Amino acid sequence: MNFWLIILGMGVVTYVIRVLLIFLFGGFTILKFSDGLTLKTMACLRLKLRLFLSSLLAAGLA
Amino acid sequence: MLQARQEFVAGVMAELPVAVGVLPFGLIYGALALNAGLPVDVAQAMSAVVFAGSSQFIGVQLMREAAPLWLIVLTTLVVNARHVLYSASVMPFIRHLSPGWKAGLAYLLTDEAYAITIIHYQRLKTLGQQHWYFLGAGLTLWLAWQASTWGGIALGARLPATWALDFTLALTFIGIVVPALKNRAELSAALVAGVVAVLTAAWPLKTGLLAAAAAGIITGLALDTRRADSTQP
Repeated sequence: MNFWLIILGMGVVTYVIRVLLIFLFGGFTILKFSDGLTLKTMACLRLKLRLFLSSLLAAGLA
Repeated sequence: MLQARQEFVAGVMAELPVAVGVLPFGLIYGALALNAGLPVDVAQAMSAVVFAGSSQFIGVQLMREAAPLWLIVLTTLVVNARHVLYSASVMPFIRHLSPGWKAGLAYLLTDEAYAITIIHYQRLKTLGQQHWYFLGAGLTLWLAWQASTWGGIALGARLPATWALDFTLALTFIGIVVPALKNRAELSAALVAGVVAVLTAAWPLKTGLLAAAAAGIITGLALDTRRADSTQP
């Protein structure tokens, strides 16, 4: 197993996620987080993420 | 320049209590990575390159089980997907900065740095040197994570080989999962995922893990949707 390749893959995908919207839509505001609807969307996404994390970690644990 | 220094120090000070809370996780990660068979330099490099705790824990577990590269990267993508929201959220506050600043701050955009920084940004009336605050908070957390990883690696290397550390991975996952299970939907998601993971343990390429996660999510969402429907008038 090539550990370095795995780390590089994990690092690149994480960085792209972090930097994507900062650069891709750098010229204008696409999300206003004071907007109630957007906050609701964010809360919904966070719930799905928690479900995913709980499921994945529980699966790993099992 | 004075304001930049004040902002940087304020960011460091605001992040310090959070960084202290991160130290045990870094220690555990370092010890676990070593126990999972990662060489010392690789274990430390993962903290520097990936710099995302949850995905590092899961990545180590998947590497130990010899999961394929695509599965590890895909899992990392899903686990860290929330960072898209963070970058969208901070973007209005840093869009006036140079590409170098944006690229650097994006690297430091973790849960803990975001939580501290966005509160500071939202109090602002005008934009000035506040990106130094972000830098101070992000660097503080980065240093804490690297140092605690190194501490965990040093600790793990000193423990006798007869002290099997395998169980600590399970303990860590229990410590992360159990407090997150706050309602019936989340509890059911975890239970279903656990059962499916056992049933699909023989699947090739560790794809049973993804199947188990999918089963858990579907169960959790179904129960959550039903609960939402029943509470509506």
